[in-house]
Order: sequence, then C-alpha cells, then structure tokens
Amino acid sequence: MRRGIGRRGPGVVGVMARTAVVAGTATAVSGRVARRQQGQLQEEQAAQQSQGQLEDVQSQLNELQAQQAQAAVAGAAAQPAGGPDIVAQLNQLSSLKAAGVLNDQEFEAAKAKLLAG
Amino acid sequence: MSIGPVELLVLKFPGERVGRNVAGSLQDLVQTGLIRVIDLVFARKSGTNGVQVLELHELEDEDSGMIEPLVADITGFLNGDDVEKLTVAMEPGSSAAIMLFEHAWAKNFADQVAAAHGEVVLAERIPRAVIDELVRAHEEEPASMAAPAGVR
Repeated sequence: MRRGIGRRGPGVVGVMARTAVVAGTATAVSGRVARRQQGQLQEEQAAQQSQGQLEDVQSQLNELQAQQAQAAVAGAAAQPAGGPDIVAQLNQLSSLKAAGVLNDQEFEAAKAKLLAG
Repeated sequence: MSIGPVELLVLKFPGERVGRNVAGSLQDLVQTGLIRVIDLVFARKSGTNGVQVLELHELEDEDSGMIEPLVADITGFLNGDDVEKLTVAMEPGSSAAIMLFEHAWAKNFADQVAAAHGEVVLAERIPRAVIDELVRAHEEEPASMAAPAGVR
C-alpha cells in the first residue's frame, strides 16, 4: 500500500469475523464484532439490541486491553466459560442470512455445525 | 511467496509515543529475521476528541524513523473498519499501535506441520496474569512439583 492509498477493501478483522461465523468457531472478539455488524445492518431491529451489542464490543475490548491480550488469529478458540449460547448463535446466523451476509449454503453449513455441537 | 503464521497485535500506550526502546526492539526483531511486519497503523485519542488514525509516515517522531524502513510494503490488510472496531474503546490520552506481523521464525515449523497434514486447532496467547498465577502456585508446591530450571 503506497502513501495516499486508503485502507479500503476487505480487512483482516472483518474477514475473520465473517469466516469465524461460518465455521462456527467465533472467537470472543470476532464473534462480538460480527454481532455488532449485524446490529448495524438491521437498524429496524430494536435499538436496545444494537446498543447491547455495542456495549458488548466496548466491554470486551476494555477487557482485552486490560489483560494486554492479543486477538486470537487461528480461528479455532475455546468456547466461553458458560458454554456456547446455541439459541443466540442461531438467531445471529438467521439475521446474517436475512441480511444477505451469509448465503443459503453458508447458513446451512454453519447451522449444521452449530447444532452438531 | 507463501507467508508464515500471522498475528494481530493491538497495544495501548499512555501518551503519544512508544519510545526509542520499543521501536529499537521491534527493529531488532525484524532485522534478525524473526518477524516480518505486514501492516502497522496507529491511533491516538487526545482528550475527548475522536480517535485519530495515523499511518507510520504521519508520526512526527524519531522512533517511527527507526521502524519505517522495516515496513517497506504496508499491505493495508487492516482496513478502516478494522481500525475503527479495534479502537472503539480507547481511553482519552492514550495511543494504540495495531500491528499485523508474520512469525517468520515459525514459518518452517508451520510448513512441516502442514506437510504432515497437521492443522492448528488452537493458538492462544496466555495472559500474563495467568502465567504469574501458575508460577506462584507451582512455587508453593512440594519438591515433586518444583518449577523447572529457568522458570521464575
């Protein structure tokens, strides 16, 4: 990238969030980033839901900064301590499909992986 | 040209500069071939203003002069949206350095693992506090669980 060329085109965090959702292995950061994108795409949804997602992202990033942690890049990660929230993730997948972020094939694959546990 | 394992690192610092020692240490890592910096971008939040995104060549300090030759080909893999997401919770008066870098030292190892049809299942950085706790816990154990030489 030469000087003057902007930071446009696909970006690593966005691509990570999208592929992690499809693979069913959302990391703490990328999963919440994906849910935040979902909130931005569907502004018709309850404002509270979007606000909650934004606060999730902010509190998660605060936590990361406090721990001086780095975002995991590998794509496969441990589940959250409380165990996977299947219903929330299914809703997330449905919304992403409705918004056109996931096509039918990607949605079915992700759903199958999610339900397979 | 194939690329080795890549890591995203977001560091926050008080004030505006990372300083000569940090820049010098990064310079060492690149010059000795241990890592290759693929993308590097900075952000500053002064007072209650918004987050200011800065490219390496826009930093007006000597430290960036040490780093700039090492990042000859900034890829832009970190796009504007990425930087916004990663800096949304910055505190006023702080700055952040966001770096994508290749673990060049691990490239051959990664290639060998791939050639053996191995896959990365998990690659996780353990928080410093967790390691400190484990070291303390093992130091309190009887001799049978003594920490190996070199672990403090």
